[in-house]
Amino acid sequence: MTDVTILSGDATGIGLGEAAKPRGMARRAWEVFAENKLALGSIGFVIFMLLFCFVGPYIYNTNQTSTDLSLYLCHPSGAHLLGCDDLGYDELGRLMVGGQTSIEVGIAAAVVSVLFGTLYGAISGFAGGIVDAVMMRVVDAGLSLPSLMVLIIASVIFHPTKTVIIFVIAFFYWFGVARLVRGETLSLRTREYVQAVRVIGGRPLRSVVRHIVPNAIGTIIVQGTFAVADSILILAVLGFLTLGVAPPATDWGSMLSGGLTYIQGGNYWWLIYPPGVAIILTCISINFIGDALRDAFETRLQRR
Amino acid sequence: MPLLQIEDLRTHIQLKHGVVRAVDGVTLHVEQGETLGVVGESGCGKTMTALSIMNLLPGGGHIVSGSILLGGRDLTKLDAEAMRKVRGDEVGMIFQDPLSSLNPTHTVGDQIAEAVLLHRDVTKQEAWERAIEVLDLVGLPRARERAGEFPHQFSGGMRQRVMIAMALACEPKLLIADEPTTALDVTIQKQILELIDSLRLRLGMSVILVTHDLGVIAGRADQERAGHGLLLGTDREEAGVGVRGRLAGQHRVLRPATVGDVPAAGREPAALRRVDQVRRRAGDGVQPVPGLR
Amino acid sequence: MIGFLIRRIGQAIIVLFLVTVFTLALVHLFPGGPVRALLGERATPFEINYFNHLYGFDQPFYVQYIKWVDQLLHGNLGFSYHLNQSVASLIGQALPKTIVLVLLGTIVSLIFGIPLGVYQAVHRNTVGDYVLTGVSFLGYATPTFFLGIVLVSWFSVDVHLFPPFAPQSSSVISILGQPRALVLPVVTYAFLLYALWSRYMRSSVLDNLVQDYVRTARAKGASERRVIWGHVFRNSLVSIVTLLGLSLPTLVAGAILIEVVFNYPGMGLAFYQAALNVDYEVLLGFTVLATVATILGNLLADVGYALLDPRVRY
Repeated sequence: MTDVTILSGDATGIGLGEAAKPRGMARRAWEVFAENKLALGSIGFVIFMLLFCFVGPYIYNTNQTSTDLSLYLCHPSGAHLLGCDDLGYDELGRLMVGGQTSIEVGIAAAVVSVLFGTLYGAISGFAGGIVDAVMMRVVDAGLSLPSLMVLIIASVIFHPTKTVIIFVIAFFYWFGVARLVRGETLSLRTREYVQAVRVIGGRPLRSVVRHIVPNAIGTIIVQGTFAVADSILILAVLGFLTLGVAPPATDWGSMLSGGLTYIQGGNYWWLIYPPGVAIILTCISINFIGDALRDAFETRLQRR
Repeated sequence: MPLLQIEDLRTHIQLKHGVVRAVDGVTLHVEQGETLGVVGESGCGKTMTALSIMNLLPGGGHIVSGSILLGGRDLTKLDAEAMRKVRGDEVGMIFQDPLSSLNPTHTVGDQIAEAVLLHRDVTKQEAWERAIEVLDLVGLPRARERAGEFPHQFSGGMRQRVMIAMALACEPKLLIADEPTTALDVTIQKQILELIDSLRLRLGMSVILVTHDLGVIAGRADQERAGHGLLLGTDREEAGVGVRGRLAGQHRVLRPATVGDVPAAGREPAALRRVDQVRRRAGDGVQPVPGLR
Repeated sequence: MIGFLIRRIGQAIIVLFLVTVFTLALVHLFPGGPVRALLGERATPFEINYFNHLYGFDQPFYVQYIKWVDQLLHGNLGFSYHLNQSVASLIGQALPKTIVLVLLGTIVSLIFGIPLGVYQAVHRNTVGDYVLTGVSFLGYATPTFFLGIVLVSWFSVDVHLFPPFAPQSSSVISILGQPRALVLPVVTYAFLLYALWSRYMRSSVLDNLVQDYVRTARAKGASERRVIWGHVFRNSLVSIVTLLGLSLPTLVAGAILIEVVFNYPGMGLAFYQAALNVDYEVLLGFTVLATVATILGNLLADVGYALLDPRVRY
């Protein structure tokens, strides 16, 4: 376990050893992660969900493009395991298709916002001074926006295709990521090993790439994980407000808006619980994974 | 009869992976009005011994066996409420880092007054007056004004004086000082140690001075009464660490590789270094942290 | 302290400027411009140009911005053509109701959240702690609109205990006079908040319990009760105060989702309907108000923090 000695900075003088060995780092993170039973279970669930949504339709084939009003709100039966919704679509099939959208949008929005936010935050933190101040004011402004309100306005303005929604959601999320990454960059910038690179004549870019990024990457990955769960939730909110993707596409949130409409008429539980539970379980699982990842990366950080 | 008599004290800490024998058979005594220095390396159990007296052990820690007699009364046999009454009233304790040991959101005067109000039936005003009185006693200039300030507004040395004032507010018979000067500058260290000593004489109380710094004990020159030092964690044969200075006392070893009293001035501190190898014996309970007994 | 305030206010103004510019720009992106939204899909280019000129929408952006800010500073938040009333009067009707909902919900959540959070910290890793953590987790993970629907389904449809819709009248008094109809919306709102407060309180108390000053207090002979309520509790409240300040904007932005689910005539529902109708004046006005509330909330949170923590003050 040689990295332990390296990490106690004074032992090696300038602590140059902290240009972390990526493999050692990853292995340590995995060890801690694997200890967390909840996280492992969550990964299992996520895999199951992915299969359910993307592979499921091939096994359980239903018509998701044309409506059939004769099947209006049909009860669960052999032909339709979870009944039908108000347009005659098979509910279980809808759950799968809706899941595809929710997950795709969730991941895509997370990736876009984290990529952009990281770049922005790293530049701002590394540049410092007036550049940093200005860039952060913009982030402050973004964070002061009443997000749901502006999300609604944006959804009304732009025709809601999947791609558009991805960018709309990402637009909100990147502010938070930028601030976080900037904080990380600021603290990493003053570490001895980054300054040591300057001492030996390395260029700032070298510092950023070899030292700051590997250490910040833990935070970035954790943040990205939570971003996926949050994005799925945001899409669900938009869908519920009928401002999400346009039919015949659907997502879990849109399915729930149907549930609200018909709740008075009778106990149409299959309109409510499947999508709701799907959202909850998926988001919880992703959150558990994110927590476990954070623990995994933190133990490495603590050894400093 | 000595004020404090500890007999074969054993304190264990229950961890997830096993038990740590933090204090493994310590015997010591403190006479009325004298200073006992307890010296040893970090992790040898000296702080745990001090905390055991107050029963302020961290989570998972408990006294397994042995007795702690304060004025003839065995503290280990007291219930929680009775022990609470002893703390702050008969025995006072001060800690290493006065900044973190004081509540940042209460004024200094309030914290001292609280100590008084916990044990004496007085009004808030009287407690406040007592706080000012005792701040004065520890040499804090402009005590009346400064009593209304917050801990972070004081310098390190002043803060330690505040802590001492708080510990002395009810005039305890015994003051336990756990590394009181470690967090302070060298020049302030001397002041604080002298302060503690002069208070000891003035109030007729006993002091247990816990430290890893031999110089702290050794520097106690010109005392009216000599105390003796207690060196924890050494092997009997190696416990010939001399402490330059006027500490008198018997070399009294009770168990091999556990505890030994420090003899009078004599042998060099170099002997201490050889002790390390002896202490790291395998199989002595769980050793999750190297050096912890 | 004064310097601190001045700096923060300066920052707030800059942020306000950026946000208002952004919001106005956003509205200009409305398909066809704001006028088309007013006139509908079948407006001819001539009509559009005419109205654009009439309302000054053909002016350069910065001119419009200045005029709009000027208008705002004079208290004119715009006029809704759909509802045929000024935005200000619409706010006047809707805001009190949202405030009732949010205030009740916040109070309820605090009543449960804070003491239970302390309880959890003091009794950590006991069965009670685990159970309560599970409850908090559920509150945290359940989307509010789903919870609302489920509650309606259970307590309104299955068991006719509470009405499915919130009180509909236009005056606050009569809303308060229908407490049963308020129960479900308030509970839904409070549940999520409860999870937040108890979680923060628990971790804050835990952080404080291991601080050195707690050991000192015990060394003085303070009872466990005194240690917790006299020392730890106050220091733990700081994070809650910050959060409370940050939740000020919800008084304005409203619990949009809850108001939609329960058809509660507050700010949130009004905003949502304005969005569906593309009533852009309402949208603009509400957004600006909500932003001001957010900025104010941040400021208050900072001030509150400074008040509670003397280290920041002196």
